[in-house]
Amino acid sequence: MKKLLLIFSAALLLITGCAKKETADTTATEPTPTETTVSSGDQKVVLYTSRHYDTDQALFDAFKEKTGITVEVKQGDAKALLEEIEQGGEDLDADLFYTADAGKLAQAKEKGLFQTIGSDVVKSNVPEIYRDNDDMWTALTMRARIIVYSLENVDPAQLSTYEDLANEKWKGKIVTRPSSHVYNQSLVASFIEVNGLEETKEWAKGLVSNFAREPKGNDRDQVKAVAANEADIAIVNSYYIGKMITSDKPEEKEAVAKVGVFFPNQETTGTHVNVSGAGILKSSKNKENAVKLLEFLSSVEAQEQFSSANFEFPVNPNVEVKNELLKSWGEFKKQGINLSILGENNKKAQEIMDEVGWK
Amino acid sequence: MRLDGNSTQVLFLLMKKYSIIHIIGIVALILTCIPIIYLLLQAFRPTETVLSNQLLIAYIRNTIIMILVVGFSAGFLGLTLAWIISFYDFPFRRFFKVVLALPLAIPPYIAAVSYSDFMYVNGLFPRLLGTFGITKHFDIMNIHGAIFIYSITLYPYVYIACLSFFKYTSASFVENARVLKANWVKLFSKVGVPLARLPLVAGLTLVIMELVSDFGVIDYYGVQGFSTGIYKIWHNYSDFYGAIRLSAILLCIIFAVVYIESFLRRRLRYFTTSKSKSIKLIRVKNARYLLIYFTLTLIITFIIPLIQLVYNGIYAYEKIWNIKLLQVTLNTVYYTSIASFICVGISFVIANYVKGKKGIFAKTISKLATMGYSIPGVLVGLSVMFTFFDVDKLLVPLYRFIGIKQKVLVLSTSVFVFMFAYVVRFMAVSFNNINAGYKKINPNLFRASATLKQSTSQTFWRVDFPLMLPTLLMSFLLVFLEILKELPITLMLKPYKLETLTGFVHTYTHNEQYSEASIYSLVIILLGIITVSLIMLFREKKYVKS
Amino acid sequence: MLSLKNISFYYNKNQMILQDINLEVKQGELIAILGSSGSGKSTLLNLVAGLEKVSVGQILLDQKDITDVVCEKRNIGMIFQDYALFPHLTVEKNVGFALKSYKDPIVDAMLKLVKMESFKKRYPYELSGGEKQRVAIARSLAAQPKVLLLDEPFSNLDADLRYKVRKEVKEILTQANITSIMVTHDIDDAYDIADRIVFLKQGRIDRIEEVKATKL
Repeated sequence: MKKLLLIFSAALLLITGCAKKETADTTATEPTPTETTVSSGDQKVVLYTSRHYDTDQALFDAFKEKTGITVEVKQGDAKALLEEIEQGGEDLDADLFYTADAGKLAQAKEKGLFQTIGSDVVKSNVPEIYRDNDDMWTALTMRARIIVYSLENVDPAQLSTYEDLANEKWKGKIVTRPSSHVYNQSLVASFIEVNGLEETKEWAKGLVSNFAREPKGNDRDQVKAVAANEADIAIVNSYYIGKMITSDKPEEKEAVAKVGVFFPNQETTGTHVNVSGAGILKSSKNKENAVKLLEFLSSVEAQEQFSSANFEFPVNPNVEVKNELLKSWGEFKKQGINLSILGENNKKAQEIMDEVGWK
Repeated sequence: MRLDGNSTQVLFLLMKKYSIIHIIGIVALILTCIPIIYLLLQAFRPTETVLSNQLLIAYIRNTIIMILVVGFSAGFLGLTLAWIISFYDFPFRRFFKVVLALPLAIPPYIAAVSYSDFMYVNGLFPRLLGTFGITKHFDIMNIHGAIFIYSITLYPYVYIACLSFFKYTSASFVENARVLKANWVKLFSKVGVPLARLPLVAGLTLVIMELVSDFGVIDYYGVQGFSTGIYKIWHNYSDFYGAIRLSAILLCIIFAVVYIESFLRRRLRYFTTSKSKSIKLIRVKNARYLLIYFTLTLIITFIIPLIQLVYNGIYAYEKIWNIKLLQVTLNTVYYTSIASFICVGISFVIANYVKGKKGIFAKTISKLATMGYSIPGVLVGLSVMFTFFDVDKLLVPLYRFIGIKQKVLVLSTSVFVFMFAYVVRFMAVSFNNINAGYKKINPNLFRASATLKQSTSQTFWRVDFPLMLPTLLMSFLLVFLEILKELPITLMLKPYKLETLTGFVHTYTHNEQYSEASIYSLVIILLGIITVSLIMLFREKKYVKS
Repeated sequence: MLSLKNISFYYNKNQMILQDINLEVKQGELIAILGSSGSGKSTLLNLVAGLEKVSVGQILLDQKDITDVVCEKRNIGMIFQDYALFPHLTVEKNVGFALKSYKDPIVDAMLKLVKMESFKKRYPYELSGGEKQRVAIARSLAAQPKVLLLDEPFSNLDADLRYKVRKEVKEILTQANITSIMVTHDIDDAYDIADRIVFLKQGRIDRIEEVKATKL
């Protein structure tokens, strides 16, 4: 019996040992909401994010340097994080939700998880079209979903719009990733807004019938498939091109050298863009700090980082893009829709993709 | 927590009737089942979305195909390799015995990514072919590829189960058959296969449970399986409860299969003779083909993914190879060890409680407790988390009483729940192993201890524990391996400051930075190799049961 | 000193395993329970030891009702058919298992009684069947039970050894002056060493016979 107790308590000690450290940290740094004067000592802000970039962490470090506020990051799948935030409610120790899809942000707003940001700095940093109508979230970076084509087989003069990709002339020539991925869902969701439900369905049907293979892999795999002549055209996100060009791996550099980049719908409705953005959670216990973080991330300084290190487009119009690649792409016409629509149409988009057999 | 006279009395009676160790066992058992029951209950919530039947049928069809083919190939590989190593003598036998279990160290998802890289355009394999003047590449990102990946990464479950079974049982069978001059084909098909039914089923159960709960491989390879459906309903239709319902259906099917199987097995009798001195191995005269088979298996299942990872890793080597990597590795070993220890401890008290019970209740509920292994990890994590959200809300008065102010989510954000989620997820691995260990011990020993005036708890420490120690260590290693490779639960429930190896693999693969991810994967695999080698080199004490 | 009153045992009522067993065992007596396999004789031992619970009836030990007392508190020892020696413990630790320490003088005394002093440091797997048997007896006796139960104690020994061991066991039991119940299916075992023989048939006592013949 004694032994049992001994081992049990030893185990308990071990567990609580590491637990205690944790709770001690949090209680020490948790200011009561009424305390507004801040001695920037051990301040913190808890960020739930589905983004996983080293560059983000570098920005958080810079933020800490500047303000003394530690950003505690909880990474995870966006959906899982949202479930946790929803179920945990007010009691949860979470201040911000940061994710790479406007649709998800809109969903979080719809579920009532956000509170208004109320920062004039953010408002002046980020143009209105990249912010939520009710000031519940703001975009921080932007990426375009573009067409990549085989330099060997495709004359860019043949390319025009996303809509054109449903044309029979591309039969067996297009690749993209599965419909399970949010980038494609938001693409289709934006089409429902721009072209209407029926037309979008027709388009998706045509697109799927032009697939060179069953959708699989990630965006880089699509580029590789075009480079390998398995297809002529791929629909991918813009920043992956930048990453492949600067990749350490010779295979990736070789692959991306064989493809060209095309921004579709320039003459018509504009290229589909999606954003990464964040909102302050209702459960936030460090709202001031959360606001500060958003102000920092939308500032010129941070926005430059996003574009130069991660090949994302800044949303702050005052930022001069220095990145050579982004510069070479130049200005382009973007889809002018309200990004909240992506969330509203997500389900319909999914239904369409299921119906037309976009796997 | 005030108790009135009545409940004190009840408690007292309970203590009198059951020993402490049994009470701990019951509590642990029920605790483990709660998240699973929670999951099953959520399935009855009304939900709007229904996947079209057509889609659902496709998912089920693909999953069944994968189960059947992977079951067959993993079973075949595992059984034949274990059979040959257990009864035949040939060069490098002991070397192969260990290394053939090593693929267990590679997480299936990582194997999937490496292999498609290896075979595709510009990959190492096409380039190798190129040097012979052949221009050809292979796209394995499809259901065949998925089947291949699952087979090569999961077969060691069968292999290890068969090896340890053969070690104990079948010498007399095999020797008799040999005296009758059966040739090796006959020996294998007429003796080996029927004899190995028990470990074959045990190993395959794990293979299938892991297969149906995996999402990483089939998502990457674009295969539409049952777990695709679960994720689709949740991620694309935002219907969490619909996803839970789907996985509850899956759970019920697996549960039914496991239950029926154990029911059928009850009728079978196994003659577990004590090990006859040492089995005389059959000398293989011409081992060439055997060695080719073994070497090929080793290369395909282990060396190739490893080479690809090393190749990828070279590019990020300088960036990642620093003191931080060491720190993350030590962190990982630390939390994984504690979690494995807890998992094994809980499984042990539960197995101890269940062992003497004839009733259907204990058996059923212990089967239920192992079901976490067939649920996608992210759902296990969430249901554990949500269960403890509710528990926390109930315990608020207690928290205030002991002086925790304001905070409500005390338990659910604690390390306790982090560790406990692993228990729920990996109970099948440790419990089944420990349970099998118990079956090898003469039950009269426990009864003898009782007639020698030892209480159940005393018996637990003086008989169960020392006799089970080898099994416990083995279970510890097996669970360690699982937790080492685990991702969703770790990501979801770990304390914010804890940096883990799988966390970095996730970050970098999510970001499609495979070179960086490869380094962390290699460290995981290295730790895995150490663990697997310990498992394989593990020698049981030499006393033989009386 | 040990009385069984109207003992019945069943898993379900249609299948009685033991029915209406009444038996009085006197101090120092050795009773053999003789029956074919399936007659319920081993079950009867388990009931007395407390390893199974009686369905109906009472067990009294020194006039005290022990029907609901758990096995470890009954003070009844048992020798198992397979001896059930703990494989991870040496002979002396096996014998001292019920005691606070294996260094207790009782251990030596018991080992001496069964003539196994020189085997102290051996492990069970190093012993022959007869030696294991003796260690098992020593281990049970060291716990100083009021009654000793023996389940088919000689069935694992071959014929010539059996005769010898039987005598040894009887001798030890007599020396220890302990009340014993032995279960066997071998009529020679029973006649050779028992004081009384209980014939068990299909879960009922068929008859009880005194053994008057001079033994040894």
